[in-house]
Amino acid sequence: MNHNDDIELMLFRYKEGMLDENEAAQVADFLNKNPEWRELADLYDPQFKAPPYPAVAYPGKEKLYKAQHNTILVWLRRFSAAATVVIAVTVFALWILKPNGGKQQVASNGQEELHAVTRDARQDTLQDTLQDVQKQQKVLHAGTRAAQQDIRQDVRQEIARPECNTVDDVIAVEEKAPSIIETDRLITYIDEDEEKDTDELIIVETDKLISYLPEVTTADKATEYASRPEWTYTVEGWWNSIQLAYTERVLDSHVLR
Amino acid sequence: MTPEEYNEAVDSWADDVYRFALSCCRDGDRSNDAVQEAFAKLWEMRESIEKSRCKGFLIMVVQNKLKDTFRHDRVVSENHEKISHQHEDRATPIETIDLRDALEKAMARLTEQQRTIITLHDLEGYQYEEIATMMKMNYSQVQVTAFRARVRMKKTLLNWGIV
Repeated sequence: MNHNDDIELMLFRYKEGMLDENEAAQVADFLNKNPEWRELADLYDPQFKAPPYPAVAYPGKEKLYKAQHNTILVWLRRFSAAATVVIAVTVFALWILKPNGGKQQVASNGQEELHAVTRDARQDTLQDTLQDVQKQQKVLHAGTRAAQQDIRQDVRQEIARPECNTVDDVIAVEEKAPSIIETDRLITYIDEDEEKDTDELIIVETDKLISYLPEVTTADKATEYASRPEWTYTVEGWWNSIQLAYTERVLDSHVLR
Repeated sequence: MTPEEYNEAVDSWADDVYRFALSCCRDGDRSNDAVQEAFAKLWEMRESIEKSRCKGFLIMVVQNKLKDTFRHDRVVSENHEKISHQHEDRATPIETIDLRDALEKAMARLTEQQRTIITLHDLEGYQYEEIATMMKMNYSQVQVTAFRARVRMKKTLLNWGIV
């Protein structure tokens, strides 16, 4: 977990009353000194619960039931099966213990070898399956990571065009670009709307910060940026910082009309 | 667990488990599959599961099943679903949305993981530590996710002028 996660965890525990008196006082003091975090803390409201379930019945319930009337028969079958196994094992054991049990010993060794071979075969199959899944995950991850890079490259090229020379132009480019969120090492693309842009991005852990800043190309760079004191990491603050960086880049390269 | 007890579990919890699955994924077919699989596993393992732990077991299986299918068939279909929700919301005058509808719509805007955690806590009554075990997440991660989920719900309601 990164620094922002730690603060959010602390705020969660503060609002849920999980801190002792001293800790709560420290958090209250922190919030007084950091109004942007106070604003975020004020948004956390545990009274807003999930609405009750809709009153729907499960349509496939009838298929779930199991027959009960043959329970006695089931137990009888189990008992007889168990008795059969016990008798068979007893007979086999007695047979093994007979004076000419050498041949049986060879037979049982053969069975053990067969068992070892089939067990190894199952393990090999499992191993192959696991390797295939891992390969597919790598291909998928590489594909989506490459697509993510393409999108970021497209956005940068769009902003670098001569026609894009006001702050509004930059914002219009961003609004058209798909937002990128990363969960569980897979990358999903969703269209932006004004209510999702910041929240979806903030889902990404800071050390994997997906940023449009061209110099932030690695997780280390993202972490370094995240640690600078001038960057604020409230939801709005983070987004504003990104927009500011865009604006500065545009102003550097174009003349405002 | 005897077959009679299993059938009692079907009577008692099939509807609840289905509603839980629906509230998490909002897809009737996926929810149906998840519930079927959960009860199939319960039947298979009936001799090692106590009656008192049935519901928790069923919810855990459903949650794992939804998590697995979410990883495979997301993106395009979910984009279309979310876009249609957005158009729906913009077309609906704010004055006609009551609080329950608003909470429903706000929940729909959460990620599936956020929705699952909030549902398990608020409607099923699980503590966050239990939810962490069920979802195979770190306890702190569950708390941070719950924090972000409620912040997001409140922001959505504020944007709509509901609160």
